[in-house]
Amino acid sequence: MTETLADFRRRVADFLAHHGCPAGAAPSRSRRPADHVAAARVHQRALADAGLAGITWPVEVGGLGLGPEYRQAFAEESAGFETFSAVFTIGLGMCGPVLLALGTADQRSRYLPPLLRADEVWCQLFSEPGAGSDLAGLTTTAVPDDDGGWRIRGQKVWTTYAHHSDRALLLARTDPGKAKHRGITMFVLDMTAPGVTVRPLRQATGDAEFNEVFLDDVRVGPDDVVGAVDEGWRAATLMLMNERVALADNPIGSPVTLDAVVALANRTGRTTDPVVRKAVADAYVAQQQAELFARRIAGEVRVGRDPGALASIGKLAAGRLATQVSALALEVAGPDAVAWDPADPDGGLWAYGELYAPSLSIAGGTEQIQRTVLGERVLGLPREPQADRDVPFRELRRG
Amino acid sequence: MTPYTDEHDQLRASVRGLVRTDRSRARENTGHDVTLWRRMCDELGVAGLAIPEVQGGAGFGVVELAVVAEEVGRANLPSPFLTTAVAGLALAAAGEDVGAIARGERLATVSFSPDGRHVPDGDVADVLVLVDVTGASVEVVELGGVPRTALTTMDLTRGQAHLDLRGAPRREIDVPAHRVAALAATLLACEQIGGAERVLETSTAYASQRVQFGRPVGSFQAVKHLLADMLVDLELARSAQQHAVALAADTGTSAPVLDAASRTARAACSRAFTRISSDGIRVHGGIGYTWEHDAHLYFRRARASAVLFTPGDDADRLAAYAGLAS
Repeated sequence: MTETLADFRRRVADFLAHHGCPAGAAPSRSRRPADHVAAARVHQRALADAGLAGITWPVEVGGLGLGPEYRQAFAEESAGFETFSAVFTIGLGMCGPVLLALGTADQRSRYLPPLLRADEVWCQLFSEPGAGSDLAGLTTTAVPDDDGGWRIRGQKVWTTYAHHSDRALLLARTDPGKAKHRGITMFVLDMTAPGVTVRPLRQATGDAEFNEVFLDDVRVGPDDVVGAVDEGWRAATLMLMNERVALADNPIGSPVTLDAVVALANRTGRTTDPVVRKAVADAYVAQQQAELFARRIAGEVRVGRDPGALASIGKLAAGRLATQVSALALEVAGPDAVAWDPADPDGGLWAYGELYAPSLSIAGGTEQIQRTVLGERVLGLPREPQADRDVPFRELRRG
Repeated sequence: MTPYTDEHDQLRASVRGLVRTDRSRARENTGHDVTLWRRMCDELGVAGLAIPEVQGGAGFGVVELAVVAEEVGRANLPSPFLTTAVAGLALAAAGEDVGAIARGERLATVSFSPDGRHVPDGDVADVLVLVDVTGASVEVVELGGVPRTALTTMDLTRGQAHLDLRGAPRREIDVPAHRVAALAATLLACEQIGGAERVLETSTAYASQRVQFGRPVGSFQAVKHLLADMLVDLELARSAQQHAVALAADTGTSAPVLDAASRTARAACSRAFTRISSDGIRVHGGIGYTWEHDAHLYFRRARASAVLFTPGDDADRLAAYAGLAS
């Protein structure tokens, strides 16, 4: 018999009371990244042991087989607690649903249970130095081996948490004679396989959450194809749709919140300055709109609808808001924002936020790509003329 | 999430069918379209929509008023709907005789300026609800013998007048000032969303048709991204507006929560409508800047609406709601 929503809520609340990590109490993602990932694994394993992992996943792969309303109840109960979404959005929010939808029975039973327990952390090997906004222009190749397997050669980049990951879903070109979207295949990749080299990239903030990944004749078996050969673009689209859903559930925002800036202004006595009051009011209105819009989208997602292209609005709003709030922080903090005593534990926060903000305008599709998506898919405006449609990939101009 | 149901869609369709109007209806300080107003009242009962049935209204609520306000804004309709709906509901809540207002035969209006200046629809209204939010008092003023100066207005769709209230008969009525203020701000936000939505639609249609350099101009990123930004502004503001409507419709909403949400909605929708109607002119190019086209009429209404019902302390109050000490 299905557990009632009320019983489920009680179980979640009980779990959080014993094992929950209050937001902000976990090791800092930025300053202690390895400890953050380790804490995330412990947390996810405890969730699985308590029978609370994979709420909407089928029972046969270790999930609870419950409806989206239970995921909503979980989200409501865990307000104020750390969810480690930065570590798990890709594996649990994106790779898992793709394997559920397109994976073979073997792939599902082999990969999903350890993914759910965080025994294996997953990453996404999609973007390349020459294929960012134009992902379908990727040039990493998978060449058939004699025994039905493949050899993969190429370079990936911006791979979040690759250096902490055990496995990946990878896109590679399997037929350069077909048009760009049609000759791509998705594979499961073991990150410890010979020929995989991960090199962390230092970001503008100084953190190293993402990586370059070099693939030098990496061998994958015939069983590692996800979906059908040459139909990887469909799998990639499904994965990106799940990214929108996951981000609607757990939006990634700036570490500098308006609340923190207001608290700073209250501490430093900048509360009667009319310029500060006006700027705080403006930021408050922007924050309210972004939050209420995110709630609108999350409501759609939790009743099982794809937020579709409208999720692009949420992304643009988050980027704008982060820029506005971090600029306000610098205004309020003054010279302390850009130079601080190394002994001050909160010293670099405002500078960090200011350096973090531009990433929200690029990661997961640049602002310009989001605007094009909104213009074409929501407003129905005519598309830009395309020079690369229906041309064999090997004949396309690249660079 | 949205406060609207299927029945609201039907109401919306009825109002839209009736007010579908051409821009020649934009008054040039000659008064609103009286014939259309009579039909809106006789056929749809818009003037008394939220007034209880025992007082001569239809007994619906704030959500229904929101639907009509959005449609009035969409059509950029010169109409006393907004002011008479807000003032009528305040008078009804105070137990006043509102039968003629519910029928749309008497026009009520609402103002927040104690000196009687810049009263919206003050050129045509019969009775004024004067709200003092700071002093938490509401007065009703009969306008029969009050000297008025109808103003020349930037917005050609909503009149204003300076009223000489010295010696006018006035008395206090028992209705919470903050609720009247919240309703005025919220319904104004609805009008603004309706107008912004219409401007985005016409601008998108124009950019899809208009061909230059052998392509529809909407296929150029410079134009496409401008329209996408208009969409972002619209949908973000709409979230704030729908939230305010839901809270205003709930009589259990506390005063500070209602005040924060309605001020946020007004600020968000004022900015969104201003930007969208201004960019709407740009998308249309030269034709959008002429009297041949109604783009400028929406822009005029957006600029005037952005300073309507504003008590002047929005920045201060919104900063306080963000947690900033006074």
